[in-house]
Amino acid sequence: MSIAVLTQVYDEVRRLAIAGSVVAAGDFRLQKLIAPLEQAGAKAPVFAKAAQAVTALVESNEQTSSQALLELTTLVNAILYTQGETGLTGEIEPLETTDLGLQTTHVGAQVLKPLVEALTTAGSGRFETIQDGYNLGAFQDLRLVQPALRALDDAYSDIGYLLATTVLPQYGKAIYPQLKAAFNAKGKTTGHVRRLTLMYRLDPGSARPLVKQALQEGAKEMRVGAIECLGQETEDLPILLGHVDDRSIDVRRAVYQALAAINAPEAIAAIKKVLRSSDLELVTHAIYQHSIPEIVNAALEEAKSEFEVLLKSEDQKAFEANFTQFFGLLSCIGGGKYEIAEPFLLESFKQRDLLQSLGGHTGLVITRRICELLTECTAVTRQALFQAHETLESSLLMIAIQAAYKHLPPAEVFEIFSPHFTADLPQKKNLKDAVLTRRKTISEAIAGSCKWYYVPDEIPLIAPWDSRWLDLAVSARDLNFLRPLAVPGHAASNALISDSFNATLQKSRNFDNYMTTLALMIHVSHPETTDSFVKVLLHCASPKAKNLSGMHWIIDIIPRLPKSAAPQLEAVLPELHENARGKLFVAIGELTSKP
Amino acid sequence: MIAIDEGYVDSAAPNAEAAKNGRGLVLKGKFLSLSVSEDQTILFGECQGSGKEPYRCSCDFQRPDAPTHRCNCPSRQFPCKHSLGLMYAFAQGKLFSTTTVPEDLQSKREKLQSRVEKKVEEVEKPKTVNKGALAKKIQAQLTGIDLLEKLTNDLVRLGIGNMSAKTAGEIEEQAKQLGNAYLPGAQVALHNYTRLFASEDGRFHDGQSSNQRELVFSEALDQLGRLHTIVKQGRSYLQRRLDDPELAPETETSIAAWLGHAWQLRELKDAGLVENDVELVQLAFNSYDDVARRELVETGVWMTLKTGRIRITQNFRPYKAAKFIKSDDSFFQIAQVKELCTYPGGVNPRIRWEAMLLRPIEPKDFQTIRGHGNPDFAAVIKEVKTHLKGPLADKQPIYALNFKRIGQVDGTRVVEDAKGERLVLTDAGMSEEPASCHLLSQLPPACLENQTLVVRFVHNLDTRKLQIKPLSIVTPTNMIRMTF
Repeated sequence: MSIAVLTQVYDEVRRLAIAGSVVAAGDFRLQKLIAPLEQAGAKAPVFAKAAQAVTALVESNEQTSSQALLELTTLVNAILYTQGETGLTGEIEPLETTDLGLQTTHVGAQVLKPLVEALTTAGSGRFETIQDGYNLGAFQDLRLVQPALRALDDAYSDIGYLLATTVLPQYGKAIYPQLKAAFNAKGKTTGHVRRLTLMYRLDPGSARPLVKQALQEGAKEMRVGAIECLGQETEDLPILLGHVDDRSIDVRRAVYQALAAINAPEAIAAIKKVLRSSDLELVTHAIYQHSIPEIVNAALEEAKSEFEVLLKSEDQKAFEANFTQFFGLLSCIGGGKYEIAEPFLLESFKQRDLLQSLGGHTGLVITRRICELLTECTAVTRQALFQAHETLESSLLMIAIQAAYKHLPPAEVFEIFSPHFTADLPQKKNLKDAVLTRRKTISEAIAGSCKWYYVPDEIPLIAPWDSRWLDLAVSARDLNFLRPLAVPGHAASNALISDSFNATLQKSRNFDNYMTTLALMIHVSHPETTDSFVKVLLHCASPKAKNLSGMHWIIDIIPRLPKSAAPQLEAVLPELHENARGKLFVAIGELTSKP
Repeated sequence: MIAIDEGYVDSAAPNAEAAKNGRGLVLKGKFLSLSVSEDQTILFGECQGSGKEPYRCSCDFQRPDAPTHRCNCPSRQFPCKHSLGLMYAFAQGKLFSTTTVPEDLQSKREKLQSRVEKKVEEVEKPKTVNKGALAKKIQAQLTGIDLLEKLTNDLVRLGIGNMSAKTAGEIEEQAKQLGNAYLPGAQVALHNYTRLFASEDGRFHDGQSSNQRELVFSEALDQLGRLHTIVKQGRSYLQRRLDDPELAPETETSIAAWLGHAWQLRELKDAGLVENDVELVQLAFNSYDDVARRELVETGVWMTLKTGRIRITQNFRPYKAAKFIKSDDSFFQIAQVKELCTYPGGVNPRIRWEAMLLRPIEPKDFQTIRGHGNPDFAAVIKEVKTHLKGPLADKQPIYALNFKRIGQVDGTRVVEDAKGERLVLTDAGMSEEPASCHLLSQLPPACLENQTLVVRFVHNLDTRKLQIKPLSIVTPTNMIRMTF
């Protein structure tokens, strides 16, 4: 009873403190409590003290009210702190627990805090933090499970994906109840889809009813997610077939993906039907990936008949109308994967001129695709492409030489393709231009095999070219052609490099224009390398130079010079632009400290 | 012999970024040389940086409890990433060649030795008090107390419900004068009141809903009561010191700390607040960003293995200097401290030490911790309530409780002792620490029976309930931490 009065006093004091102590004087609600307090004070002096404090407050004026209120507050609070209610009556039941098997909480706060922040906030740089944390094994810590589960809804989809596919699966079935509790089949966010697919991955049996529910009730993304979970069980087939006519392209794509993996008559029939529909592009990848023979055969037959239709096209418009379907069918049968398709590909290749004349550019696109597929076929079939090199349009010739470089010995590649350079040029302009175009295509294909830009040898060639190409490159006076072929000590190529360098020196003060030449010089240990570097520095980084852009790459390759070049470069430093000296000094230092 | 592991280096790092960078240097093979002295007391090496010359760094374990880190890099962090990398390399078992310590490094070691000896001599000299300066300072503090009283009275007259962004801003501005009057603690206490009306970003906005404001009224009233007590007790304490300049700062109560007295280790030693050869284990750790005060706060909860007393370390890192102040971190070993200083305070006073050695935590240590847990909830509750009634007491004391089981009553989590006394578990009212109650549901059932629970008590002024927040569970083989 006494404590109840005191609680009332506290409530009144709180009310007055909120309103301001100036209104406390004469407060009748507080005044009413003085008597009960005094009564309780007879038994416990502290209540008498409270009664006095209440009286002082009620009788206070504007000046003294604040002190009186604070005195009373301090007293009442002190008493109420000793009266805090503890415990809870009732039957105690065991806590429902999900043993995650994780009792380790040995990740330091300095690691944990940024990780939790990355999982629970927005902003850039979080993905890296989470990935680093995973690599450190931090997610073994119990305290990260909840934040990781919540972050499935992260707006940045890469984070949600990383958690769903890499981080959360490590907890196993134990997190299933929590995933289920947070899952909403009608949920609009990707997080719910991730929950569904993760639940299915962790416990397919338990998740199956949820998958079916999601398929019935979910939005488009949810249905796609649900379909991706189906296909493993016999009972899934009717469900999938029930969605082949879904209005959503994404849902149909998912359905086809699942059906293309099922080797059952109903599934095969459904996919065969797609081969003749505009949905073909939705299923081509799945057909190629799963390689069910009956479907591949059907695709091949369909491709043959579509090819016939193409060749009978009356005009380019009709050709283009049939193009997409045939192109999709080519993707289904692929190249090299099915030998049964090779005769057809070869036959199609033979019709390349007709295709191009009927379809123009579209016909060329189809021919390119056929050529690409041929390069993946058996050696015999591939050979047909190489042998046809003299008649190939330049983009097809590029495909042929690139494939030959990959599959044939260097000498054979040279034997096949070098005649384009060695044969005499025709007199007629159009024939001469055709030969020059072929030469350009071949030299570009060879130049393209060299992947380094200005740091030589950084990325080696996939395979060497025949050394005879080097002379042809020198004759063509083409540095890019020369780059993958050049070797140290080749006088003619050294001369070409020198000529090229001197020609550039006459007309350019921009570092960028010397990049290939100087890099090549280092690559072939050209005798004029150091002198050329010095000339470029004096030329492009003179004290009067207005623009030093491009100097960064020269800094990068200076350490690749022979160590003996250092004194010569150091000597030239005082003659250079002051902004260039510092960086060059560091680069020369690196060169000097080379072992 | 230098006995360090990667955990040791982690804890020596000033922050997580420095530790990460230090590890990176080892991974990238940036160390050109790794050496250790013949007497195995110093590690030194060369690390390739962005400049031409490599950085020369060293970690000197001549004083194993207070190692010295040196590096000629321009970083203002100590240890810098190069010194950390050197220690990581050693901890990871990289090959260190045994060589003679370079001359310049040797001379630095000798200078340090002489500095340490000189410091010891200085500590032993009797300290003289400039009575005139002290009187002047106390006078200024008394003037500050008058200001605090005036501000408190103004706030009470105004009414908690009438606090506006403008008023809060004005009070903050005036509170700065308390800092000038050598009363930083009182300034913080006043700040604790005004920050109740600040939003999460630490700014004052009008337009908080009435529900939001209603939530802080009880706490605000409590804070006003606290300010009132600081004024009363502070004035009396300062007057006593003014009358007797020889009087040492008070250690019986926490009033000196509330006024903002910065305790010197020497004062604590003079007051007998030093324990020797203490072994400490960290029971919990948490860090939070105090947006309103613009500083990072790190709190460690430690138990003395011998006595079972639970005390705290606190590290305050203002935003402006955060990068240059070493951050504290969770600590998973046993700290062996030669000299432990305890600040005056109640149940969980603050502690501090300057040097420590480490040893791995062993199963017997868990047994010791469990042995210090209190099995009688009723007795603890009584003690907590007695403690809480003090207006200047820490309102969230920490205890270790030995419980019989953790379960639920109608969905509310409770912990019960062997006598059937129960305490309700909650996360409410402790926004500085992450929620922890939900983690109990993720533990094996064995962890919820007959273990030791480290808890923080909290009294809810509105519901008038005394409840607890779980911080850690100590089993015979493990310590499961729930906060961070």
